[in-house]
Amino acid sequence: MRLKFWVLLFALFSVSAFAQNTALRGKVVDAESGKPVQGVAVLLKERQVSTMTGSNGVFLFDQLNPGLDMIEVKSTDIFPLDNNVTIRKGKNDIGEIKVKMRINAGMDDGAVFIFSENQIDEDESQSNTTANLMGASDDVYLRTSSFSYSPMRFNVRGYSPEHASTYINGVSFNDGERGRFNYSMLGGMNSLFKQKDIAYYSDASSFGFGSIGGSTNIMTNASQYAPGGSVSLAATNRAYVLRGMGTFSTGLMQNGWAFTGGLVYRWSKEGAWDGTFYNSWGYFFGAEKVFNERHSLALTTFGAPTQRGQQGAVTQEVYDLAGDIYYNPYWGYQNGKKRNSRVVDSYDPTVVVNHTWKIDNVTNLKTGIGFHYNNYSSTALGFYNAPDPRPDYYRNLPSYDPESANAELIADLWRNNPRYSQVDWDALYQANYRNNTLYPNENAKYMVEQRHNNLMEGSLNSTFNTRLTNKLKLTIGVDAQLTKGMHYKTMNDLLGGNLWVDIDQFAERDFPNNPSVIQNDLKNPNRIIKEGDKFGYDYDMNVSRLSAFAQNEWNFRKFDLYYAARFSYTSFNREGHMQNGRAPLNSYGKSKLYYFMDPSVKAGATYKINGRHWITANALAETRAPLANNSYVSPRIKSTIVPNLQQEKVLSYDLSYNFSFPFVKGRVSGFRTHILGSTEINGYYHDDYRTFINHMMTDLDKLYQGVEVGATFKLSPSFSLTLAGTYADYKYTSNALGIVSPENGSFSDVIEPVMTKDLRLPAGPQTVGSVKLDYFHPKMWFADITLSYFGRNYLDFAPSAYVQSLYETYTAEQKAVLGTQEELKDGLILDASVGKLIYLPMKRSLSINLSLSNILNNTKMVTGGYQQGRIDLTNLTKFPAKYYYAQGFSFFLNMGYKF
Amino acid sequence: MRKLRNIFSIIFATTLGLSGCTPDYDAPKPDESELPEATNTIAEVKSNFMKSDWLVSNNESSSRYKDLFTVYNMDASESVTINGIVISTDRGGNTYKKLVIRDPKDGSAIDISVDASGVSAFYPYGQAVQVTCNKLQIGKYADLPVIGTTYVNAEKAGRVEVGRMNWLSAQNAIKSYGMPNPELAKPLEVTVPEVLAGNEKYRSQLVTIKNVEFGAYYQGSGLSYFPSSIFKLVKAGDKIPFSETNDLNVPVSRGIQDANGNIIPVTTSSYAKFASELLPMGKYNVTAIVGWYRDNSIKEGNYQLSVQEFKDIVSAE
Repeated sequence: MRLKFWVLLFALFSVSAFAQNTALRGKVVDAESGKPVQGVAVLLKERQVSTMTGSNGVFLFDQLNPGLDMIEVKSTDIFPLDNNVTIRKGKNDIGEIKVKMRINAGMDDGAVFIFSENQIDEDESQSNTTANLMGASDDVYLRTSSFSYSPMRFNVRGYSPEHASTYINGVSFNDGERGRFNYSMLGGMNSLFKQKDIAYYSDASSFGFGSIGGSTNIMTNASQYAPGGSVSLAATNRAYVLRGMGTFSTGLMQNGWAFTGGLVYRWSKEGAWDGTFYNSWGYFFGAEKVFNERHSLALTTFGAPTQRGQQGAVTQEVYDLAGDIYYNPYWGYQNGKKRNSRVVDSYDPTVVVNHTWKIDNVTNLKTGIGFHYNNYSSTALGFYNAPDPRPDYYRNLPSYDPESANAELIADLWRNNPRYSQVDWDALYQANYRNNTLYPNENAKYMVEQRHNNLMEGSLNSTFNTRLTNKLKLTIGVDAQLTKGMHYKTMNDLLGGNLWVDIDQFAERDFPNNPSVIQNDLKNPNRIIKEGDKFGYDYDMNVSRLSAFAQNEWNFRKFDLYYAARFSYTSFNREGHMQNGRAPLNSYGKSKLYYFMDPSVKAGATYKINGRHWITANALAETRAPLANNSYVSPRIKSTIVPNLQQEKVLSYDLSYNFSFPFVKGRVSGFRTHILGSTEINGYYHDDYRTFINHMMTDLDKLYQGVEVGATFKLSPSFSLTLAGTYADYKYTSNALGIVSPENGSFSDVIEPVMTKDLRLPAGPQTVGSVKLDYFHPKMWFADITLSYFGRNYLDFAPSAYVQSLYETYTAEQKAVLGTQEELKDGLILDASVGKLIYLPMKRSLSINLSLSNILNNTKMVTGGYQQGRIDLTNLTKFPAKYYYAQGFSFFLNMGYKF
Repeated sequence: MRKLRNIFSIIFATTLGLSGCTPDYDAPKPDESELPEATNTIAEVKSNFMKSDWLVSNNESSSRYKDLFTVYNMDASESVTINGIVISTDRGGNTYKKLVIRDPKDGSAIDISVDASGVSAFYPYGQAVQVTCNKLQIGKYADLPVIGTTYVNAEKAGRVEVGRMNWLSAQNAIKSYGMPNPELAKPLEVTVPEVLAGNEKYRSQLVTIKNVEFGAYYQGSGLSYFPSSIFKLVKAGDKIPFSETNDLNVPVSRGIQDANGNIIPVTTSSYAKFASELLPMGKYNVTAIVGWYRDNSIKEGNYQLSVQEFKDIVSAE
């Protein structure tokens, strides 16, 4: 029955017809320098067909119907233009289209990238989706959200990153284990990754089925880059302080080869947050051989070895004691130098090989294979039978015992002595030295461990595009991906100690007489660990994904229509390389294989009232296999799967009114998305149980709904005004099934409902609005100023505070403190930028751009954080929430030279 | 092309220069500092400050606690320091959130109560320390002198007592000098009657008592605690653990008896690593900290030994 359905479906997509040839050719050039502009999207609005300019600035449409149309050119680099065009039967050449370059576009996205990286950096789970839509230049709302909202961890439509699809040259790069695209792999080399084909939300794209959060295809074929070079130097006061970058492209040479290379370096000794540092290289190399009109082969490789110090969320009490939102608990002095205990090392070398086969004028087959190996690790302090070394440990704060005679003394020590307000590295070394003196063959007291989350992935994509008639396009694609996620920890630094023993020190207290239960690896009991050795846990997640999709796009005079269907197969299992003493029968070796089959369908239609305004509607329905990352209860320990493991059910629909008049263009949309049966992971350290506790929630239903508006008014040739904003509602619509699992095994896993219904998703601000004034002077001066409002941002809640047994017995006071989600403070942020482009002889140019963010230095904006998982029913404020603040005033100054 | 090369080489040079700035840390050197002179001995501090001039509370409202739970400030105008060698260790899990120091000059000893587990990581057995007393409190906890901080015990009807000092104040007040030397922390060799003689000399001292046998207290058919009249030596077939691991937080008392029938309790926390070890038969030399506990003025107090690690129980045969 199933099979019949798919056969029928493919038959439906494969309606074929004959086509006649009418073509339109043109060339996009920089009005000032006359240089060709590559990577510009060219759109025939009536016919709803689009193409891109090549490195010579040339574009070509064929298989057209004669008649009137409106041609539009747009990209991140230029000010968009549109013009009427008459297409006659046969070949049409409209000559050069002269465009004005937009210098701040390219550089703004540099600035945006820093914000996005900050967010990825701080906490992987908190990265947002706006980065995915960067470069969405022709949608007023999305452009504004990616530029102005990302510092507040804004998520477009509230979607998490796994709901946005990112491809590189048509190859899917959302990883198989966590479902996300790793933005840091690009290394901040924005200028080489800015050519993108973007499908907004669930809209049709020519490269993949996509997701509700949009699809982005980053294009890096070497022949796509305009010949020439660029160097730039940027100074800022954010995560890094300096960036140097150089790129060079040959363009497509006579011999059919094209090469592009780039190098970037970003650095800071200390970033905006105390004790953070940044040290990152990035390289890029692309080569392409165009064999003939039909075949070309391209290779792209890039990577960004990066080391950086992290910043941690702390409670308001700590911020107040430190007197500063830039306080960071992770660093401390060692021999007078600042050392960060949380250092991220990441390097995700990537290779993509693409073959493009233009089968005929209207048909092509694009095939790509991608491979990347993400080396990601972050360090953290560990301790054994010794006082907790974290300076913001709650017992080390004045609030722990405010009545104590020493509360004031503690506050004083905390305020005035970095030995107490930061990590006291020197003391940790001395503790280890003392331990060595007495017990040279025993566990060190303190150490730095390195937690590795590596990922090896190979992907294959093949997409077939053809125009079956001048009204119908067909796209068929297949996609295969093999992923191995590798998770383990190694001993990074024994801090002068002699050795470490591979047992769970937190289980030791609970099982004093059971030497086997405390073992992390029963196959190597009490193993002696030295620096560089693996210990603690070591497991892989093996994920395979396979999918095929087909899509039809119809273009009529008044209507456009598309529909697409995909079928996906996903399987995964866990493979343990250690036999854990807390789960001896359920930790070692390959676990059972779980597999899922997921259908997806989507459709959309555009009704063209006329060329100036049109209405679009989109809908998507699918099931999604659970992510391997979310499917195990305590994956570091055992292979136990979450109860009721299930696929997510997604139903999403939206309706938009779009307008494009000479004086105003923009869009108004309403959207609603239901996601049912989703699973989330949470974890926290519980100091009473002395263990890390995993608290999974499954059976979660979520609703995302709202309106979004974006409009740009052309006030005069020089001034334009942009209004954008959203009012949305992202919430849980059901209670969840929760599973509490302690890693030290001090109690058995507990299954209990979590009262999540009507809680808000911690998806960033749910009300956002901004006003932006743009200025452009014909002598190539640019300036803009933006005022943005952020409100209705909700703090991430702790499932442990909402478990049914507690929640239903809360007193009014307990409910107010523990059982009520905190709404974060709303506020305004003012940004501005100014830029100048100077044309030099020989088609060279110099650009200078300065962006100023949060000019009013609003240091009261909390971007997020979390309610602590530990709760104390007698002292309700004992474990208050921890917050992250948005950076106050910052600048980004970039100078670029193109030749 | 040459210009291009120049530009790239400049970028390379600057970035390479910067990348030399990757953080790199030297390990601190082991502490070789020597213990400075102290202003007072432990005995002097006890007698100087545990007087009415420095009194914070003597729980006057409850005759039960009066003189047994007291707190005194040590906020003298001049710096008051004491030296000590740490004679305690929390490695065995039986000494918890405290350290015990012995004055290298006159041999007097005192408990220091600290609100952190694993304090022996900073102040291990044999470590020379200097304690700056000025911002700390001293007092009696169940009649045993302790340095700590003022604590209002809500569970005991607001009894004001000397409690555990915050870990930050402990680090601020207690400084270690040099590496630990166990030779300096050797136990005193004493007999059961000497400890029981009632003078305060051995309270908070680390002692070794030789040639004793283990036993337990029985009430009817079950195990109990105190008094000596219900004490019986371990016999073949008995399987009595040092502590009961199923009842956390409550220390359990067994005892030792010398050849003359003198008995002293041995108290073990359920968190001790040797809590489930069985009381051995035969003669042993036992090293332990001498505790004293009297929480009610109308009742007698008890001496109780606290064995710190299982290795401190050594066969005497």
